[in-house]
Amino acid sequence: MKKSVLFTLSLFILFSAFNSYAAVSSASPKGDVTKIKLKNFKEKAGDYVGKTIKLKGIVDHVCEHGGKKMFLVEEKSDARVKITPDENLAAFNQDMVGETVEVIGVVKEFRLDEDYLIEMEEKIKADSKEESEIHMGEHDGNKKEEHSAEDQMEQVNRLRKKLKDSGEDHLSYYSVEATSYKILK
Amino acid sequence: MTFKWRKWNKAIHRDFGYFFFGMTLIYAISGIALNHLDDWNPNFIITTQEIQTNSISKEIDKEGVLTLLEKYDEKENYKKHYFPRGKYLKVFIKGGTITIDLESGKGIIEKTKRRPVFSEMDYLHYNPIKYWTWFADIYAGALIILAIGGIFIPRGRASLKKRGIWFLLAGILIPVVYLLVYYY
Repeated sequence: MKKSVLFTLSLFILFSAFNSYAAVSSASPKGDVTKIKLKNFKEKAGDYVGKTIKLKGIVDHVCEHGGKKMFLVEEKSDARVKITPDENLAAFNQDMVGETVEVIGVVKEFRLDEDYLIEMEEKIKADSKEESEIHMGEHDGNKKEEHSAEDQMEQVNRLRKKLKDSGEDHLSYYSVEATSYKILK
Repeated sequence: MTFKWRKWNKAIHRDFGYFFFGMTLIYAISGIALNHLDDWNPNFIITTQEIQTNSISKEIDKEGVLTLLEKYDEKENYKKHYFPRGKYLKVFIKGGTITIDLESGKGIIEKTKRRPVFSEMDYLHYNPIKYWTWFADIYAGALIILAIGGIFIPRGRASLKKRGIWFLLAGILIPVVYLLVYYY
């Protein structure tokens, strides 16, 4: 009994460890991989949605809450690209900040349209109503929530203007869902 | 031969209790830590230091950056640098960053250090990879078995039919009251 429990546990741990290692070290991607320079990503990403690309950049930021996203930048441009790990890849590590990495992954598109903005507005209003009901009668002068709701509404208005100015029915935001990456020395 | 369900229930409860002891601590401790994100950062200890230097040219090279870092004892920690939005110099150093406004020379050194124990537990709490999610799901299933099986273990005065039922109802009543007040 003791042996079988230990054996199962060891197998599980080995399996998890092996998989995360294989994913971080350059796993061979299926199909064609197009190399795109970080500075050209914004303008070219639309043509590569759903396709696998290779990107190189410096890790500028790794999400502090679980490492489920990071941003790549480069020295000679203002480009900033969001990278998320796919389900087989372990969350990114804070130690990666400042390192140059080569990422292989699939280009994803997020479409922001008027419906999404209306949803955002409704959520902000609902959250702000909930906050004021909870804090009713115990206002302590801390207007953090209030400001936060105002800021969010301002952001919605900015996005609405941007959408209108674009002349399109949506704004596209692109990111890369990484299937593998390696830290370059 | 009759099925001795009490014996099995007790054995399952005992062994699951041993096996998932670590998982319970991980999720309980990180749960408390994450409940209070507004009050503290459970993952990292962040220290900042404001600095003031002369205005910096955007043409500054690695050697120039290293000379600048020497002043703050960070030369040995240099990793890379770049110029966000053309207005700042951001230097990546081991365990942090230095960001300086090119024009005013005003900057900040931010050092980030992992908070021992909590950062590891929070990392796991956030489901870092699907294999962990599988194990966490198994643990969640085991908790259901532990909860249901647990209430049938005591016998006599402390059994579910006697004293136990009141504790059980009180424990259910608390979330129900919260739902009635805040949710509905």
